[in-house]
Amino acid sequence: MTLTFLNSAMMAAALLAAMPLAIHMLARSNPPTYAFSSNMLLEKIVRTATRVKKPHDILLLLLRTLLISAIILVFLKPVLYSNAKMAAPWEKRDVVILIDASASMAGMENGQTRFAAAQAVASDILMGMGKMDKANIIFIQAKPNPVFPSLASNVRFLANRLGEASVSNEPGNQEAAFERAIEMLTLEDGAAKEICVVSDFQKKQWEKRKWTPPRPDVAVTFVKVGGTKGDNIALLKASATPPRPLAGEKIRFECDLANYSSAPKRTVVYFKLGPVRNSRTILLPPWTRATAAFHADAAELTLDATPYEFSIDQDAFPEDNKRWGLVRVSENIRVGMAGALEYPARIWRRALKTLPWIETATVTLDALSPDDRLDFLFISGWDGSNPGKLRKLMAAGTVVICAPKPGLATKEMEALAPGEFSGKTNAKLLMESAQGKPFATRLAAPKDKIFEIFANGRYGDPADAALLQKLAPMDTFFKGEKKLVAFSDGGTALARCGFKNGGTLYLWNICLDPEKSNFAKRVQFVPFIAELILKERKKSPAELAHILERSPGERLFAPIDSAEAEHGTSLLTPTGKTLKTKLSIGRNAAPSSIAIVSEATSETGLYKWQFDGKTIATAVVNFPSSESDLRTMTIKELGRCGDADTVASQENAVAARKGSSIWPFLLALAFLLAICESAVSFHAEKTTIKDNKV
Amino acid sequence: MPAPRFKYLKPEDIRKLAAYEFAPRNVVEGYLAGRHRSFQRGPSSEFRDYRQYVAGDDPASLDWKVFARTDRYFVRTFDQETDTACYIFLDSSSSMGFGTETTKLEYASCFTAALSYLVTKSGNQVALGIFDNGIRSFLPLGGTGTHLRNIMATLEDNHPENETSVAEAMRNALPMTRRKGSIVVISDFFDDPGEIFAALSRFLHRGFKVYLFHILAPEETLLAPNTLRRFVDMETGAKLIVHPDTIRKQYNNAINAHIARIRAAAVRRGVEYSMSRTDSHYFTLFDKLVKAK
Repeated sequence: MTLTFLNSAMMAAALLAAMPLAIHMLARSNPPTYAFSSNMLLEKIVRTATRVKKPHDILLLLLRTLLISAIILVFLKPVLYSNAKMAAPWEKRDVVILIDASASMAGMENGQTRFAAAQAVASDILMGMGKMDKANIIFIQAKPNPVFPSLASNVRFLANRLGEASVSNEPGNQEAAFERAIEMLTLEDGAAKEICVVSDFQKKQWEKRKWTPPRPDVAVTFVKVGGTKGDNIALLKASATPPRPLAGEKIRFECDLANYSSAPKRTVVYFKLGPVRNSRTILLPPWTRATAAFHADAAELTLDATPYEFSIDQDAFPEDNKRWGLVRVSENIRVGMAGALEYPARIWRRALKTLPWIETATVTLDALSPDDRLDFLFISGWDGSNPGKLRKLMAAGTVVICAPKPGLATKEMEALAPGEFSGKTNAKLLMESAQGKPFATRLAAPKDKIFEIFANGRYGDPADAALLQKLAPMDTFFKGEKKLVAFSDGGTALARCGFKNGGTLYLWNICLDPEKSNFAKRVQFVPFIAELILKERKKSPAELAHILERSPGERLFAPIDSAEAEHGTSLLTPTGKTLKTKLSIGRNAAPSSIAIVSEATSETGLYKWQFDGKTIATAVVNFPSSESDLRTMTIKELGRCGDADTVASQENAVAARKGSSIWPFLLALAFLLAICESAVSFHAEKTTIKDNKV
Repeated sequence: MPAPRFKYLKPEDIRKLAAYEFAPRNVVEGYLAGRHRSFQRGPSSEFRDYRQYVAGDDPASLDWKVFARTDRYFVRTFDQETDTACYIFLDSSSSMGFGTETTKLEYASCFTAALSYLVTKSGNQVALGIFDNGIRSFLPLGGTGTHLRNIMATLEDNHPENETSVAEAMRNALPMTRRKGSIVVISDFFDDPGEIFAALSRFLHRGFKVYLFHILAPEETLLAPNTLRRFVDMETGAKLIVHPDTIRKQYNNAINAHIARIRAAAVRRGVEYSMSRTDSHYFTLFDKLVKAK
């Protein structure tokens, strides 16, 4: 707490506070002399009277001193600061105002949006800036959006921009905005520095923030706008299963809803897919989620991406009441075949050939690139080459089915997932032949998704086979490894490894040589391979490219064949506007090495890439589900987090920054003291009269 | 020849005093024949009784008419009439100098002068003692014109000084009063009444008639100033800052109580007490001491 006087020029007047005391002392010390015959009686009276009068006198003196002090303080305009770092009114200040313009700020409370309240607070702060002060505004969006590149004195312009600003549908990136503010303040010298964050402090977003504390000389103020609840029903996710159905496949469209309120809510979920419209009423208990599912036949869809839309009844926060998705019927699944071993490649190829919805291509690991968009890569006899490339492929979504080459050192497997390798021995994988009795295989995880259709036994046992050869030692190589098919001695025949980067690797140790194994001869083999591909295909890159959801604030990419194709390509927003685009070559962010990239999106809905008036691609920008939970952190919680020197509500934001003017309280105190003084004087007089009557 | 002019005895006062006669209300003891009845029998006009003639009696005192009727010698006896002694003790301490128009000492001096005149005019004797915390000066009994002039001169030369102690002064005065008579004490009596009367009791035991004349200034009874003042005690020099308004009533109560205590003590001991303010005429004090012709 710091006390400052705005009208410090009148500080000399503070001496007047001593006036009653001075008058008292002077009056007492030098009254006119009066020669009196004898003080004998007077002394007796005074001795008695002083006992009563003195407390009155002292109390009156005290009250009068306090009264004059209070009146003087009123004129001195004292201001109380809760934050010692905050600049005094006469100090030069550099202030960066971070205004949360994320989607949750569109929440309506008391007839205005949270963003409007934030604008009002920021406007008040700007209005309080002096001529020498510098300021800037950074809107917290997906990408921090500053008004000026650095701090400036043109507060009027800032105020205008503030008035014109509107809330976005983007999620907020608080960390980036904060870092940007610190960068700006670092460039400035010789002034009191302050970062003022005006936000609703949405719980979901702000609780997990991680930012570097600013320099100790930078005062951080949090000004919270809006309430702490914010009832809302939101559509969180729209998905199609499978996301890229094969022709003729049934599609299940799912929509996740959430009731962010303390009361049960009933709402109608509407589904729209081309001409198909459907609806379903859902009752959502408080603070719960639910899923609404609709079914459609892929046969009705074209090979082009078909948009589908979910919507619910209007509520107080309509931004998240609609959600879009794309579903594209696929002709086939792309499978790459690599490796030098004849087996199991030949058997794999033969099995895949029986599946009409699979397109097989022979590839080499050296020439492989993500642009090949392989859904699956079968490697027959991996010799440890190109582990980095395989790692990237897996991270991009390609599922790798790898049959190691005999002689491969187990340690070489580590290169596929460094840090997740758990192999204990560094032995070479050698082909082990069965001595007399063949190696029997069995299901190690019968309930795994790839064995789903075999669960009822109708299609037999997919792993019931006898093999004369196997690689050994096949231990558990990776931490996230799951044994699916095992040998009778416990060795791994087939295992799936899920890596932290999202990649999936199948380790294949099943001999498919017809002379040494009956595994591929059984009728269950083709369904087993088909099931493996169908159940794993969700992550395949070709699908991901189409189901990838974008949020407002992000850019859209359209892969093109050549740079020339850029001309004539445009991007139409959901409202029919054209977004600016530019060519992007070799950017990692784009799925393709040559792509057209748009500027940041702002609207939610369907975006269409057009070339020569024709739609060549479609993209979906959905409301960020993280912004739907409108619950916010309380001021107490914000205070506990310790990131801010001052935490204030909307109502006392100005007071928290500029200090609390305490002159009204002092004025009230002066009145109170005046009343007390009158009362004590009256009582003293009354007492004197009473004494005199005696 | 014009009458000498005295400061405290104006001719007009003398004219007024002609209407008064000094008449103390008790029997006195005196040497000179005077107007006052004495316990000693002697030649006078006041018949007392008859007694048998004895050798040595003055034959002139024989009542020849009784001898003619009874043939016996009887002598007529008369109450002897004598002059009376009046001892006046005037307080001349510093506090008696208080007063705005007339100080208490001036007022008391006028009264003393008038009383002395009246006493001597009546053929009695008067003594004057000036005291403060002791007897400062003493003029013994006298009844002549010269004595009266000496008294006037003494009064005119008198100034207020020193502290008051009536009791101490009265104790010191006791050996100076050889003849019984009247003791007149004129003072403001800013002293402890108990001690004053303890000192006066010796006079009372000796048969003196004691008169106390309490002189106060109006400012003393009313506590005149209205604003904050530093009260300086005229006797001790002690200072006291007081706002009279705040204690006026208490002071009035206190001074009245002081007067009442003196008055009550006087009544108990048969002492005549009279209080007068300097804004009233001192003749009012004669009511206790003299009678109108």
